[in-house]
Amino acid sequence: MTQRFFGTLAAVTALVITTGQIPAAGQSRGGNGEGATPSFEPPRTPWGDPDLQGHWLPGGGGMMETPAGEPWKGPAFRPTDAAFSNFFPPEPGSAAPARPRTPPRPMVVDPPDGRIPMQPWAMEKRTEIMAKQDRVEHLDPRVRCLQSGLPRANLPVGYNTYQFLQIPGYVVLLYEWNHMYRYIPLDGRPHVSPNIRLPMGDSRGRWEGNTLVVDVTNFTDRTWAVGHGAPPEGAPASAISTGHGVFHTEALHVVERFTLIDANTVRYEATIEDPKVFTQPWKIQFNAFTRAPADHQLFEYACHEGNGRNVKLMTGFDIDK
Amino acid sequence: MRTRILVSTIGAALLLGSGSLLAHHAFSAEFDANRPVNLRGTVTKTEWINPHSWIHVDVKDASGKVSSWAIECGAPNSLLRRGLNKMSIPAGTQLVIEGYQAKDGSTTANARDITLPDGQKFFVGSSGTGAPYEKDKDNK
Amino acid sequence: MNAAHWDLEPHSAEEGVPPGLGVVEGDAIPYQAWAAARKKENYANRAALDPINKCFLPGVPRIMYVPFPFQIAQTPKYVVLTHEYQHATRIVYTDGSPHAPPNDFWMGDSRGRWEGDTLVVDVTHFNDRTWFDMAGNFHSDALHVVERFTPLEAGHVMQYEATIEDPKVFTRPWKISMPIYRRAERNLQLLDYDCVDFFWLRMRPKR
Repeated sequence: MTQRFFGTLAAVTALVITTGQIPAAGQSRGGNGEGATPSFEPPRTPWGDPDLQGHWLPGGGGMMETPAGEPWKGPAFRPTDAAFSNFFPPEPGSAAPARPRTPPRPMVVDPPDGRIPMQPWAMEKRTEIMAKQDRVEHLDPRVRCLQSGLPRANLPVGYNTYQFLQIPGYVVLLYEWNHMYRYIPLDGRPHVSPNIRLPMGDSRGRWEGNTLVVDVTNFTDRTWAVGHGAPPEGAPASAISTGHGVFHTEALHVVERFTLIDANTVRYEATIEDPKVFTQPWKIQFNAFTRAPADHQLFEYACHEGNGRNVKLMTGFDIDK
Repeated sequence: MRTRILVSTIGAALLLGSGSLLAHHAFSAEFDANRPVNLRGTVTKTEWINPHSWIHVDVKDASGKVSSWAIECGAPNSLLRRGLNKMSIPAGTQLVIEGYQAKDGSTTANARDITLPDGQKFFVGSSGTGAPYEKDKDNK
Repeated sequence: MNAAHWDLEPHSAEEGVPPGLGVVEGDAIPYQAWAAARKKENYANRAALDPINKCFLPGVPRIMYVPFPFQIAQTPKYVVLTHEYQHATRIVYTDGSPHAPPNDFWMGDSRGRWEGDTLVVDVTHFNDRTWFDMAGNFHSDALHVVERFTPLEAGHVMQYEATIEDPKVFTRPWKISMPIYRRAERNLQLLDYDCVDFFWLRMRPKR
């Protein structure tokens, strides 16, 4: 199975820019993700944009949605098996700041009932997907080490941290898990051709006051829009609150809003639209990013390379041989 | 050597909502909180891979019989951040391992702590799997 | 443009393989005797053995000459290389920080400093799982790479050199060098060659 790279130029596009200061660490604790965005005057880059740069830890997540069905009470159910929001438990004696407590409400803030508004056929398909996680065609794409998609990449998961960089004309987001990156151009250029489909979509950004607004289109249909934490074992789709199994089509359109609400917290909102799957656009909101300790670095997280056990179970192919 | 193919999921802590054939990332699917183990063994090999690092140790029982244990730990990134690296536990290192044995009784365990010969103890547990040593597992 | 990804050493064309003048200084990679034999085996079985065919990360310096573009974002503390191939990312720390603790990284751990106009990058902590090219040139986990990036010609071309050292495999350090050309298209952006996605699409499911 040889891959043949019929060459294009091995080439580089280099952007050589200076950037601004890292914001001085403040100690204020931000809001809890509810209601209107608090007003906070962020530090600025030398060219005057709000400065979101630095290393970030996953913020408190909580439930994605209010389950549509009855709470799951399977035989193995214990309250502690429910969705895990605390993926980066503070190490004893660590210098990591305490993460803001997430309110006891779902991340889904619209529709007001907190449920992901799937069309009936889509809910049936989601139920099938969650019931048949032992099939490759339904298996969670993250488990297969595909890229997370959006807004899922910004949901709190274990072993993932972030680094934000800014250079004139771009915001660059780096994701530790599976070494993903997003370049977000700010120059108002149009999206790429609809013939081009990208797992992480095609991002176009602009500043609205102190909020970075990112319009994302051109998705493939091979990711899930959301899904974090651990749904209870054996639970049907209607009883889970974690957002697993929320598939989408190439019509997916996501609009994100990143706002620094205090020196150490970035609030994240995403409006998710796919008229083939959902009955309406819906919105999530939570404090997704908490400033990491000063000496934090991203380390390489090679996903597929260590995924041999999964690959072998699902396909019989041994990548470790 | 593991006799059953156990599957680890990647990245997020996931309980795959299916039957028992597919092993899960969840602690409770593979390991038994009621089977704590305290092992003394000699490192034969380490695997610094995602989503879990593995330490392989030879453990000698009271009768002198040596069995090979596979010890599941957290991802390399989390171990690095806790102060453990590839050079910390080379082959030949004597380790004390506290954790929980596999449900199927095989010589596999999920480790909570390891103690090095110099007495240093490291928390090596995985995060987001519902293990007994995890704090704050509820929605907060 | 060069044929380094197929074979770092000078080589003739084969079907599907462009010929190359070679990018290795002195033309030949100085293998120890056992390693030269192993390289021959690699070459003979390259379709099955080349880790890139399993969609594993290509390592360094191979990621620099796979035929896919990359982009550099440069700030005072970081030079970040993002690659279209398998969304590989290299963060080069230019903040004076020491290497990360030892580990088995596919892409190594990169720490850089400036010598005049040249960015010098020290890369360590590799595993032994990558190849340098499709011809089976390989290394151990003792690999140590020092790269030099030097802008030339009004910013349109960059000279790239990598000195490769691995006392378990080679008799001495050796060096590759090649120009890297800036892409001139307006509004160029990286797209996505998600090899792992294709890998799963190719695999026949067992379940």
